[in-house]
Amino acid sequence: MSATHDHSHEVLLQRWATGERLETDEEARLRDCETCRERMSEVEKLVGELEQLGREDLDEELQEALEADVPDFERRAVQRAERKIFGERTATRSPSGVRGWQLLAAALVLVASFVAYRSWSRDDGVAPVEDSLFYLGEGFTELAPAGFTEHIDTFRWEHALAPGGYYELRFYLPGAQDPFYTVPETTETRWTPDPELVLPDHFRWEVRAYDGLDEPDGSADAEVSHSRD
Amino acid sequence: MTKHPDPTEDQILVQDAVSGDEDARRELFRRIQFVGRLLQARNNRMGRPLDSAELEDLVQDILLVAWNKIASFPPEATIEAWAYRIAAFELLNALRRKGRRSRFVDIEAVQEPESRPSVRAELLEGRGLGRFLRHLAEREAEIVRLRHVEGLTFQELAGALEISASSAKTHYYRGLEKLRQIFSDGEEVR
Repeated sequence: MSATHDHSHEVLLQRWATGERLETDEEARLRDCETCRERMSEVEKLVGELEQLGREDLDEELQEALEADVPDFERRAVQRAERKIFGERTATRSPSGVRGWQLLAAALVLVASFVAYRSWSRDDGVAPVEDSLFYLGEGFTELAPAGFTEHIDTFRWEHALAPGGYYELRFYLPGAQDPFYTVPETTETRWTPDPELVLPDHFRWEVRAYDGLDEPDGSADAEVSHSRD
Repeated sequence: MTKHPDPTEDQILVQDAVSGDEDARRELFRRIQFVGRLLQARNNRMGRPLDSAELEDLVQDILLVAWNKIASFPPEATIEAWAYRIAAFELLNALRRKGRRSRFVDIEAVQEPESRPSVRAELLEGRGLGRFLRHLAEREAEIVRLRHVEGLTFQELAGALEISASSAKTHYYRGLEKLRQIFSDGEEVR
């Protein structure tokens, strides 16, 4: 004997179809109703079809994404995320699966660059910096200012720019993801801010190199603290 | 043709990464980097509501969100499908936030041209599932798709659409019932 299908069954069917857990007696009421049993069977079949089509859509879109060319913004985002996740300064085009000796060599290059930078900055009349947190990406050999400095007048870096390439400078407040100031395309390896630009006491600056095809070609950045007094 | 990921192998890779294996961590990070290309394709189809800087920030956020969720990687999932769902959810939220901000900034400046495809049109685009979601009202189709392609829970999709979870369930069930009636009359879904 089948129970009569009524509005209370419709409410139960909706709860069941949207994944709510039904009480034992509520499930029994649905099972006892022939209309409900048919409806449940049809909905299960339909949901199975939807799931299958959904998986196929997902596979198709994933495949397209995996085969697409890597856009510039993805490279930059990956580089930024990589630094946060792995807590290290990684070169723009560092290969995956880096070996220990490669890391050691990279560390030596960084130390050598830092020593060279300190020597260079002293010779050039720039105030020496204390311990600083900076990063020299592939192709960059110098970067200043970095760390604590008494006075900032010029930002400078050393890098072999690709033919047709250019640099872009970005300035960030500590912890910020978006720059508070950007210097668009320049081919110089130094930039002097306008005297009216007031730089905060602590900030991070980044120089990004691009090749003639607008493709990223390495970057370098440094944290800077200075006194505006 | 790209090798199809194996959920069992992916599960092992994730477990190794969670336990601190550096090679596994690197490999896992490499596998989820494609989300930038995924977002770019979707953004283009939607008429580019997000600019390159916004996409860059969003990709970074998604990578960090995914990384922080590694421990809750679902069994039977592949890394790409898992990252895809996180990316889809975060994209939806980013568009919602941007839409809300723009309402307060300059409504004239951000109104979409008539010819520009809307976010909803993108959600209903004509892939396999989209083809028969056209039988449904826009909201119903949107929710069915978010549920069965993006794999969102009712709580997640309700939050992203700024409606209540019970309202989302009602729209979903109404859509399901329409499809059931259409296809129980002998029509095939495919």
